[in-house]
Amino acid sequence: MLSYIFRRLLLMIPTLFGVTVLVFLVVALSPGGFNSAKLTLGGGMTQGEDARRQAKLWERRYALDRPLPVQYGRWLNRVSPVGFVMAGDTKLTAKQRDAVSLELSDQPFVRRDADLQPAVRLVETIAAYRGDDPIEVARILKHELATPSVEGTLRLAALMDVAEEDFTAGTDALATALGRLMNPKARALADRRGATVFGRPVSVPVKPQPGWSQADPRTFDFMGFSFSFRVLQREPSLADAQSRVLSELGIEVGGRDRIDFASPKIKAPDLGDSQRGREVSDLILEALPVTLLINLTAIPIIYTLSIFMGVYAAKYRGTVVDWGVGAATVGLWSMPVMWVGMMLIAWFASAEYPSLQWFPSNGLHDLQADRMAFLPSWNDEGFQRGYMLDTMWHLALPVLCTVYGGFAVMSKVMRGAVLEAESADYIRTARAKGLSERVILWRHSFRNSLLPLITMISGILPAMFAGSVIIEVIFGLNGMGKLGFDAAFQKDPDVLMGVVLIASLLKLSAELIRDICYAIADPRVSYD
Amino acid sequence: MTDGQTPEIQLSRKVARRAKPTSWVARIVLDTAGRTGAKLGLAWVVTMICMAVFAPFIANSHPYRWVVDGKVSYPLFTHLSWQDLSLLVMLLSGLVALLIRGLAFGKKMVIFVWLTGTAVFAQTIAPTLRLVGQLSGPDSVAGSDGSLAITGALLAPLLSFIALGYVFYRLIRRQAWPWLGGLALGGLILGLTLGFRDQPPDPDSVIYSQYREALAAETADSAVFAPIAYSPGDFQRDNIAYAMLQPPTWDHPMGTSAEGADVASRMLYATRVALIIGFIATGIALVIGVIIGGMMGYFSGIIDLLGMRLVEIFSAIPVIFLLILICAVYERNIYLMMIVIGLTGWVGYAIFIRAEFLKLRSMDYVMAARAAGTPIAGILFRHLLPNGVAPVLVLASFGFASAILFESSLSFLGLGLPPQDPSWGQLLQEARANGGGQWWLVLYPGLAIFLTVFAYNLIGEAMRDALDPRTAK
Repeated sequence: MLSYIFRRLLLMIPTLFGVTVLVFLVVALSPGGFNSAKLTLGGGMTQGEDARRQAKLWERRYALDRPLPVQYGRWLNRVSPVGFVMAGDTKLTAKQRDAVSLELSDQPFVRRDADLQPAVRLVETIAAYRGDDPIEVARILKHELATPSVEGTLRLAALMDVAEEDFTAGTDALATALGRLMNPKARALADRRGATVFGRPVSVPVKPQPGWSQADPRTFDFMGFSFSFRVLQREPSLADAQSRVLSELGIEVGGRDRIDFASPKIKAPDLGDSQRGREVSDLILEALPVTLLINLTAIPIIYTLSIFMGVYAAKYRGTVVDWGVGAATVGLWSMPVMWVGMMLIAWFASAEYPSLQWFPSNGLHDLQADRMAFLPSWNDEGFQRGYMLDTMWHLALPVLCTVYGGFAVMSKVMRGAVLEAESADYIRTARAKGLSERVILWRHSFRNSLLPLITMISGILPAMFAGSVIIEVIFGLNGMGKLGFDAAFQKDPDVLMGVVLIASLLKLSAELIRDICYAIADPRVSYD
Repeated sequence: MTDGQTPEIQLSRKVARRAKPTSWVARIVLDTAGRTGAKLGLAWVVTMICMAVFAPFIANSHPYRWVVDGKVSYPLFTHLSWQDLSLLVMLLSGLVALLIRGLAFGKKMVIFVWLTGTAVFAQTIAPTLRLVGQLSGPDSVAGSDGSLAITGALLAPLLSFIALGYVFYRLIRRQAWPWLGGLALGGLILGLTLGFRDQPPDPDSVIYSQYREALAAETADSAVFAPIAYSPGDFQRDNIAYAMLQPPTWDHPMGTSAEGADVASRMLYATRVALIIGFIATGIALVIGVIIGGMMGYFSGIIDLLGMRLVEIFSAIPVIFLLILICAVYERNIYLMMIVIGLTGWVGYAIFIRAEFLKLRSMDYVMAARAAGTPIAGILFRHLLPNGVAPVLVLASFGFASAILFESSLSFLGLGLPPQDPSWGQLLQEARANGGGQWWLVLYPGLAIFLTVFAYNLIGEAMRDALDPRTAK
């Protein structure tokens, strides 16, 4: 058994690999690829500083300037729990962070917390680049900042900019931040000596003018007259200037993306961040319980219903009952869930139109649910439904939607299994012994026909998972389906890929668990 | 012993006259068609086909007959698009193929595809060539009177004529050739007529309200309209303030949509999308599934192992998520939708075909075929496939249903077809976007989806019962 599980787990590796290739390729080969996201913000993010920064960020995150296989490899490395560490991904532990903060917040040099955070980030980056001890880096940084020198300022500016997420960070903001970081004496000195950070004075913030700028006036003589004019010229590229400084400093541009192939290690899988800046794994951890709650509530109901319907259809085989159960299940199964959901809302939930308004039409909890007691209770204001009943009340319609289509296949299978058991020898023996029909049905044939239902669970779970997309969208429940749906509209590749990956993983595990359960339940099944 | 015939001759005549033994698949299909559920399902599918084909004659803003200043015109007929005419030809050629006796299924298919192909080809190629001819020089004789167009109009029927030559070649000694001769002539005439037909104006630039305005201004003498006098793309711009989200009236039997279009008209035209998505998506899935599954089953070994991994990959990803992912990142259109639903739906077919082929490949007759030196394609497609395809047909029937469900789900989520293609899911989506209180936008499209899915499921169930030896008749 163990060897079987092990073999299955091994076989899951190529499958998962294929799933990741498929999911990655669908996004990577789409028009716009990973960058298509910025097109969705109404074109507002297609130009300007923010857009360039965002584009740069995405280019870096997905290595878009590299060939496709490299992109895939890096993405796989990021989402895989076993992989290599990228230089820039070295994050300070909470303890190190505290130590660095303590070191830097030493008077007189950093006074405000808002100034401290960029400094800590800077230390983090330099430490990641150089592989140095962060405390040591913090000490050097402090020394550099405290020492008034133009070169030091420049060096810091370059490093500071690396610490920003990209190379296009506004020099304006940088100069201001640097000015704040430096001690007043150093700043005064830098000012006096005309130190600039990429052409801007350190302490005086200037509005950045991207693109064309006016250069110094030029003059030329023509037949004794002197003409003077200004030439519009392109600003020197910021990235060029920075890479020059960085190379002088011995820091490799893009070194942050270097992968340390020597030491593979187990790390937390990083599913990336959503466009709103939240971690995808957090989003999924929030959404998954909602979907599971709906489905795990629905499954016992589906099983109970389908077992009874299947058994009675088999018992009254060929009669009106059988025919009716068959027609009803196929009919229910054919009803599109969006239709049923909208009808239920229109009849029982909608507040806008004349409906019974028995159920809420939206959400998983009442707005005041957090203040409710868990169990229902009575107080001065009468009956209080409590958190549990409130959730059940909200879930009633979604669960109904999940249930009604679920038992068609199951009751059909159950009916077939009971019919097959009926023709077995032991049933004939039982009948020959004179047992009552009820005992034969429930004690003998029913118990032996339960096996196929185990196989159904792996089929029904992912199916319901998929079906819950529409249910969650209609009823406004923030589950996995809604998460994927919203991400689809925002073209948020990290969230989309994360949701699809997790859904596939769940399905694969459901199949494995099914096979194991099958072997446990039926001693005749052996995988060894 | 009359007429000098020996008993042997009589016997052989008797044998020849006896009904041909039908194949297993044919028996399954006949058994299925005899069941009540399948009859109901088929009835609805046939109704849908009729609605799809005759939609422009039932719902159209263009009148059948239009008289202005004593001048009679027939706008409905001149505005029929090439899709409309092709669907008509498809229905007719389908009927012809069904009614011809004494032809094998494959040859009937050839006739059907040939006639339809002629119609589509003649109508799509001819205007393109005509346009090229006009562009190449309005004054030149070659361009203006459209010798290129003539070439195009001739090319299509000629090509299909040549294609039919193959069938002729195979059937020349059979008694069916007068039939085929007639068909070939018919096809030639059909292609020529359709190819030389004046092209209808672009539906996007047609002003639908002109007829209503002319009637209101009483400049038109008389008009005969279709039962529903609104095209699906007629957003009633002349009446925009009152046209949107109207509950059913006599004028709009199923109300109007959020954009002012007639819901009944859109519902009618949406049957086309439903049918075509069902057929093409399932067709793609079936072809891929049969090829991959067949290879896996027949060759087994390493091919089977690799194929199973592919199957696992595609079955591991929940299809709806994959569809959402693809529809979100690619541009949406009906072709992409069909291809995507087809590409994600082949897994079930592959598994079934593989199991059947694994079972069949060690059978004696396959061994005999192999020993006789039959090429692999012959073994796979002539010997294995006809005997292993029946269970897959059951699955295909459910496949139709699920393809339609997927399409309407995606349209409902707003990820489906673009607004110019009417679809049932789209109408439901409009209801949701407008608060869900427009019952006519919920009830009718939902009912249509339900009936269609139910019909296909009923056919599938009946076929499954016909296949199951315990429930077979």
